[in-house]
Amino acid sequence: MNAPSFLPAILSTLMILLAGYGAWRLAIARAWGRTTDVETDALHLAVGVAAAGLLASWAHTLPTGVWAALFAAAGLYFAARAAMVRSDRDLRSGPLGRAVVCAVLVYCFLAGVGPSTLNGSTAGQYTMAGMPGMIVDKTISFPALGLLTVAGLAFYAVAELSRLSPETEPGSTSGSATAGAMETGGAPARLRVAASAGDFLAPRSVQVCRVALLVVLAYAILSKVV
Amino acid sequence: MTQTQISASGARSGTPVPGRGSAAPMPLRTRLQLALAGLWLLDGLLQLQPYMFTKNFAVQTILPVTDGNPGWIATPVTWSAKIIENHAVATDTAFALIQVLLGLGIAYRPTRRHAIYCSAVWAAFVWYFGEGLGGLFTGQANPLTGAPGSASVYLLAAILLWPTRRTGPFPAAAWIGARAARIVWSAFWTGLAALTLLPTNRAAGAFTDALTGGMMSTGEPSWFTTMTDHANRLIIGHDLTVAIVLAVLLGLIAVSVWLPRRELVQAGLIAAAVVGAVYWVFGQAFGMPFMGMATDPNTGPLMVLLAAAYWPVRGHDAVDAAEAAKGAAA
Repeated sequence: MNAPSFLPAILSTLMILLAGYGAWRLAIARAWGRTTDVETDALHLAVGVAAAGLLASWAHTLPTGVWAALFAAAGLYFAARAAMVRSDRDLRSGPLGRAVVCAVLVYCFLAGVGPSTLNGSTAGQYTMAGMPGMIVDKTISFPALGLLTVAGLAFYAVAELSRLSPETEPGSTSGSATAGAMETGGAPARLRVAASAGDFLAPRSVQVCRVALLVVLAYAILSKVV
Repeated sequence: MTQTQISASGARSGTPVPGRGSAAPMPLRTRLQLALAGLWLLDGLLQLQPYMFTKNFAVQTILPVTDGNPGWIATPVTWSAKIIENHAVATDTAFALIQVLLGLGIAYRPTRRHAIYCSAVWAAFVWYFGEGLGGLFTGQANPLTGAPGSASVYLLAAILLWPTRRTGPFPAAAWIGARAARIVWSAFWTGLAALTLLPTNRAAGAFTDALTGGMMSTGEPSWFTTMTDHANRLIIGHDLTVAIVLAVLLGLIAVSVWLPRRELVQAGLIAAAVVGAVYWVFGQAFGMPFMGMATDPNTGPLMVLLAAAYWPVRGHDAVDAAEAAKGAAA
């Protein structure tokens, strides 16, 4: 099944730009003497390229199995990192978030999420399933898990975006946390760690990229469900 | 380790964490606003499903809403369905974009106020032109299956979670005040109780139809159909009894927010959340997403969200008591 072709094309391009931005950060940070998070940028580079291939055939790169193995290994690495610092919430959230993204990618590749040459949708014709001449869609592999993943990605994206801006609403007692966040443009604690160690390269842009990535991954999964 | 490699992973090597442990928990009201944002974003994503870009979205999803509705509702809905049918890709792209932006806008604090305002306007628009006022005027609206329409509950949630500098004894009271918020709660749940007792909803087979009728069981995973089958066997032949018991429960939930003891209020709110969850699973089939035709998760999660918005905030008892005393004096 497929949405109008312009949508996957736009989102694939966006993902490639995102991957390119990750590569640019990795390359330029050293030259500019700025701090960056190597793991995050490298992950954005890989996920950007992989997600582009999930959406459009022209952006297809490595075989599905290779991508799945790559992200499974990366996910295990980040999960182990999160386990090592499990007592510290601030330090744990970074590798844990990256492990979740890797798990989503592994799911996408195992569930067969990918571009389709079919146009339109057979949704609704499910009601006639089993009747002669009616179309029965057979493309769904793990719809319940996929839909759960989509919902999780939506709420994860919202949580990430909310961290871009300090919460100063009444009732909030996070004065010191807010002040700390504002110093680094609302970057999360783990970015603040790096910022304190040096001059972090555009921390807010990293979060914007992550939000875009999460939303696009959710779309990629949904476009597979009928 | 070079400068470039200093990062979150740099903390691994013992970099001190400034402000560590200073972060206070996010206020409940903000959490609920973010939950609302998540639901809007999810709605926007669902609107990007391939089916939504086809004419079938207008024909199979919007037009059936006109059945049984009076002309002043059916005519505008038919008009909007025709526009969607003739410009399926353009309209659906716009719908999806609006809802994604609403979700992201509410999540991002600087734009939250405007986004919640826009979400209220959009929800009202969708409730009328897309949901036909949730079928309230058809005589067949059933809360179990989503009446009075998820868009109306989005509208309600936007009003109750309106960004404001004021505080209240519970998050929903911050903008409109505790008394008004409780009136809204009671009106909403009393309305649901009344709809449950409609002749069509208490007739023989009404609950069976609601649980397994229509397209709900088609395309659903087997674990889900098995679960609904079991629930159906339990209530089969007891529709009137179930309707009355449910209506009484909804009535108790409606008055629970006026009770003097915090524990009773909380019990009522928990009951409301449980009813919302049961409706969502058994009556609304999670919003029927398994067929690729769901436009939103339906009213179940929103009912849970509303219940959370009335959860008493500790430290506001004095405010609450003062307001009650003022009300009594008036």
